Amino acid sequence: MEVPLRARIKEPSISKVLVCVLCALFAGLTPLLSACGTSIDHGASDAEDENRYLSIVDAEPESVDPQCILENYTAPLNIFDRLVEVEQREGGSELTPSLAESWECSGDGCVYTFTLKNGVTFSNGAALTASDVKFSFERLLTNPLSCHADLMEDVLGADNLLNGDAAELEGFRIVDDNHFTIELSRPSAAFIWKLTTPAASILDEETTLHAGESFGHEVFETVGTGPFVLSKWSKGKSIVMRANSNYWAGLPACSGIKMLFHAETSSLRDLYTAGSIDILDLGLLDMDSEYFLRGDSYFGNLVRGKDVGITFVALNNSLAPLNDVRVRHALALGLDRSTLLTAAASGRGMIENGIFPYGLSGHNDELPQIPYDPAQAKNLLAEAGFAGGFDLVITCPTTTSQSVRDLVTLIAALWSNIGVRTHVENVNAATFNARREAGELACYVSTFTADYNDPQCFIEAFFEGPEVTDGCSICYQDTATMRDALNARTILDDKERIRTYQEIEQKIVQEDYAWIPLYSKARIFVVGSRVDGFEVRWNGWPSNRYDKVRILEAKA
Amino acid sequence: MIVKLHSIRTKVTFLTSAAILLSVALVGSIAIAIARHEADNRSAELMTLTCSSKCDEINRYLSYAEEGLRTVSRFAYDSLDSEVLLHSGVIGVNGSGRSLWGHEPTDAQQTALDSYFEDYLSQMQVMFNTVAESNPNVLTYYARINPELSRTSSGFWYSRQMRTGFESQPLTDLDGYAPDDMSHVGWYYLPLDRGMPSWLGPYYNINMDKTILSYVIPLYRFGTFIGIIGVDLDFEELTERIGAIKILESGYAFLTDSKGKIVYHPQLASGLFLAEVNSELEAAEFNKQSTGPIRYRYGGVAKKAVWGTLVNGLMLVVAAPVREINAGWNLMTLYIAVAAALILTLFTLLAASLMRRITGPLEQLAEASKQLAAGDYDLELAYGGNDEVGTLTQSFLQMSRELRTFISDLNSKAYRDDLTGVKNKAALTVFTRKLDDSIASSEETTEFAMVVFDCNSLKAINDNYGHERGDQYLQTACKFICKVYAHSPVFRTGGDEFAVILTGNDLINAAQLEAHFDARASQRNAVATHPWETVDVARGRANYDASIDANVASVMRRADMAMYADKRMKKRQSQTR
Repeated sequence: MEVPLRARIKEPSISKVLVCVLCALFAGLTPLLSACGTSIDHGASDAEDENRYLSIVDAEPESVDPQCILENYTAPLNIFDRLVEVEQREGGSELTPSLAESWECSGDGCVYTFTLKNGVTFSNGAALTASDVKFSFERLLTNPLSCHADLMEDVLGADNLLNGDAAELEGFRIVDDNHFTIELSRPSAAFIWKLTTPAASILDEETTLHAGESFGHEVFETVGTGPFVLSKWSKGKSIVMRANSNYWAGLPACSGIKMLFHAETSSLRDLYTAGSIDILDLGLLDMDSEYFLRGDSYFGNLVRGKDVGITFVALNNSLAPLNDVRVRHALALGLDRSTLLTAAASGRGMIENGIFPYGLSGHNDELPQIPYDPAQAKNLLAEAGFAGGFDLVITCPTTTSQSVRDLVTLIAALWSNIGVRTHVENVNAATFNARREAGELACYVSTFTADYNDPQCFIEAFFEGPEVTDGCSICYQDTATMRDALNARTILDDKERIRTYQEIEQKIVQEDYAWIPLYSKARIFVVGSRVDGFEVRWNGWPSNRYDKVRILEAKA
Repeated sequence: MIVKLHSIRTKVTFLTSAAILLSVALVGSIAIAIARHEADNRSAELMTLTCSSKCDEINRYLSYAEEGLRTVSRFAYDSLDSEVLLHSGVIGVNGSGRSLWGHEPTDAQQTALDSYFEDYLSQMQVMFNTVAESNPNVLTYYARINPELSRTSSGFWYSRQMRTGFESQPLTDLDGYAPDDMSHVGWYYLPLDRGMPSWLGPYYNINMDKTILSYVIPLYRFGTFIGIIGVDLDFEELTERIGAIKILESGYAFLTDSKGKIVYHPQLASGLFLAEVNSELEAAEFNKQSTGPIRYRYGGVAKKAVWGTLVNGLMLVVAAPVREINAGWNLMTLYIAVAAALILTLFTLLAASLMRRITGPLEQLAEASKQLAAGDYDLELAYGGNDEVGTLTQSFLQMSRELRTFISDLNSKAYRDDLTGVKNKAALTVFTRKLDDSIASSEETTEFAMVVFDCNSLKAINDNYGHERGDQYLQTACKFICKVYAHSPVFRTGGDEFAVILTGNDLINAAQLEAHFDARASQRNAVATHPWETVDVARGRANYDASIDANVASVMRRADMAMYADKRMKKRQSQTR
C-alpha cells in the first residue's frame, strides 16, 4: 500500500508544481525582458552599397550611346567593350585582345579576320555573336544620330550603306557566330586602331534595336558587355554604375562607380578633401589645382598621365593677310610658347612644334623648335607689307573655359608686341561651329586629343583634303601635300607610313605655318588614399576605365 | 513513512526553489546584460550625437569664415590682369614667394606692376570689406602681396573697431621677423609653406594682444605666388561655445590641436599635451579609424570620451564620468534586481503553499495509518480536496470504517459461545494470558479466584428428552450462574462446564455468593416441573495463592479438584437419600 501511495502522489504533483511555478516565473519576467529589448536595424541600403563605389567626377554626357557622343566617354568606356583595347606599355601603347580573341590582316592590308572570345555575354545575359558586331558597325553608318561614321569609312561598301544604296555593309562577312571578316576598300593601317575608340563599342543587336531612341538614355535599355552596368542616372546629378557580376574577364576590382557631374558652383577641392570624390582630374580645377600641386600634402596622391592632345592656334590660310606664309610665320615667332605653357599649366607639359603631340605614335622629337623671336616676327611682317601691323580677330565660343580665355588674352598680348592688333570675339558654340565648318573663322585656339594612337587621327581631322581643312577653318592650300596625306594611310609599311606623315607634318607646320602648335599638357589626377590601381588612359582623357581600380576600405 | 514524506516535501521545495532561483538569476542576468548594452549604446549615441552636433555647430562658424574668404579669393584670382602680369615678366616666375626665380623686371616693368597692384588691392579691399562686414565673427582681414612682386604695394590690414567698423592698421613688417616667428608672421609664412588654404592657431598674436584663429588663402596665378589673403577670428568666441557644452552632470568638452596639445580645457591649463595628461585617451584620439567612445581613468575617476575633428584640424573631445553615464543603467539594474527578488519571494511562497497543500493531507494520512496499525479505527481526516490526495484520503477513511466493522464481527465470532452467549474458552485463554502477565509482573499484587461449574446429568437429559432439552438445561444453568455472578466474567469452558473469575467485591463476597447460589438453586429446583428446568451443577472454587500458584492454570486445577470433590459429595448425598 505504501509504495503506490507515494508514486501516485509524487510524480504528477511535482511536475505540476514545477511547470506551474516556471510558467508563472517566465510570465512575470517576460514584460521586464521585453522592456529591455533591443532594436535591430535591418538595412544594407543602396546608399551604403554606394559607399563602396568608386566616386569620380565627369561632365554629364548627352547620352551614353558611344556612337552618338564626342566627349564625356566615362560611361561608354566602362559599360561597353571593344573588339580590341589599347594598353600602355613601356615606350608606347599597344593593341590587346578584348572581345576579339585574335585577328589577322591579309597581306594586302585589306581583309581582317576576327575570332570572337567564347562565352561572352551582355549584361542582360544574351550571348555575343558576330551578328552583334555587324549590327554595331552598320549602325555607325545608318543611325542618323551617329557622329562616328568615319570609323567605317575604309570598309568596303560603307559609302553605299551610308547613302542608303545598300541594306548591309558589304565588307562585313559573318563566317559563324564567332568568326567574321572585314574587307576594306583600301588598305588602312589605322583601321584596327580606330576599333579601340569608344564609338567602336559592341552593342547588343536585339536590345539596342528594341530600345530605339531610348538606347543610351534609359538604364535598362542600355546593355553592353563591359565590366560595369548602368544602374542609375539622376539627371543633372550623377550616373551610378554597378559591377557586372557576370563580366567575362572576371569581377571588376571595385563594386561600382558613382560618377558625379561637375557643377560649376560646387567646390571640387572640398568634395575631394571631404572624401566624397576618390579620383579628381585637376584639369577641372583652376585656382584650386595649385593647392594640390604645391607642397607635400598631396604629393603621394597625384597620378600623372600624358594628355596626347595638342593645343594649337588655327590660322585661316585662305584669308588675307593670313594667306601670306610670312605673316603666319611672324605670328608663330611672336608667341612665347613657354610662358603660355606656364600660364596655362604651370609649366606641366611639353612645348610642341608640329601636329603629332608627345605620346602619339609618330611624334617627332627632332622637329626644330619654333623660337620666340618678336624681332624676326616684326621683320617678317614688314616684309609682307604689314610693318604697321594688322587687325586680327580671335574667335572664342562662349563655352570657352577660363584657362583658355586667359591663354587667348596672353596670345593677344604677345601679338600686340609685334604690332598685331588682336580682338577677341565671343560667339555662342553653335555659331562658332557653323562658321568654323564654313571656313569663315580667321583664328581660334583649340585643343585636339587623339582618339586612337595613330598620326592619321590628326591628319584626317585637319589636313586630308580641301573639304576637311576648310571644314575646320584652317583652309590649308597645298593640295599636293594633302593628297600625299590621304595616300599615306594606305602605306602598308608602318615605318614608311610614319616617316611620310612626319614629312607632311614638317611641311605643314614648319614650312607653311598652317597652324601654330603650342603645347601638350600633363593630365594629373589626385587620387584618394583608399584607391589603388588607378592609371590614366593612354591618351590622357579625363574619361577612364575603372575595372582595375580597387577600393581599399569603405568610406566611414 | 513520515520521514519519506518530509523528504518529498524537502526535495520538491528544494527543486522548485532552485529552479526559481536559477530562472530568476538567468533571466535577471540577461535582462541586466541587455539593459547594460542598451544603456551603453544610448550613452555612446548621446555623446557621439552631442559631439557631432557641436562639431557641426563649430564647423558652421568656421566654414562661414572660410566661404567668405573663398569668395574674396575667387574675385582676387579672376581679377588679376594676365596681360599686365605678362608684360611685367611675372608669368612663370616660379618660386616660393621668398625668392622668385628668374624675376628680374626692368624699372618700367616694376613701376607698372607696383601701380597695378595698388589698383588691384584697392578693388580687393572694397570686396573684402563687404564680405567681412557680413560676418560678425571676423576680427580682422588682410591681404599681403608677395614682396618680391611689388615694392610699394604690400597689402592692407583692417581690424574691427567697436563703433566705427573696420579700420586700417599699420602693416607688420615681414622683413622684421624671422619666417618661423609664429606669433608675428606665422599667418604669412605657414600657408605659404603649405601651399594651400590653411587654418592657423589658436595662437597668441602679439600685434592684437589676443588669441586668434586665422584662415589664410595663398593666391597663385599662372604658376606665380601672388600673395595671401586672410581673416582672423576671436578664439574666445569658440571657447565660450565649448565651455557651454555640458554632458550629464559634470561632463565637459575640450579642444586639442592635431598634435594632441590641449588648446582649451575648462579645467586644465592650455599648452599641456594630452599624452602627459592621459595616454589612453591620447592614443585613442589619434587612431583615425575611430571617433570613440573610449573608457579611460583620469584623477581616479572612470570616464568615457568621444571626439570629432573640426574643419580647422582641431579636435573636439567630449568626456563624461562613467558613473553618470551608467546612472540610468544602475537604476535599471536596481529595478531588475527588485523585480527578481519580488518574483523569487512570491514564487517561493507560492511553491511552499502548494507543498503544504499536498504534503499536509499526506502527513495526516501517515498519522492515520499509524493509528490504524495500533487497532484504533476512529480516524479523523479532514482533507476533502478535489485532487489525488483528496481521493486518497476519502478511500483511506472508507477503508478504515470497513476494517472496524470487519474486526468487530470477527471478535464476536471468536470469543463468544453461540449457545449461551457467554465468553468461550478462547476468551478464557486471552483472559488468563492477561492474568498471567499480571502475575509475572512483580510490580502489582494480583488477587482473584476462579470458580468452575459442571452440569450434572446432561447426558441423561440428552438421552431421555433429546438434545434440545439438554441445550435448554445448559442455558438455564448458565443464566443462573450469570445472575449470581453478575459482576464477574463467565466463560463456557467445555460442553457442560463453566468458569467464573472473581475479582473485587465478588472475590470478597465469594462465600456469600456461593451460599446465595445454593439457596436460589434449591428454591428453583423445588418448583421445576421437568428435569431440564432444574439447576444441578457441581461447583469448585480456588483463590489465587501466590505461594502455591505459579499461574492461572494452577488456580484452575485446584478449582477443578474442588468441583470434583463437590460432585462426589453431592452424588453420595443423592444415593443416601
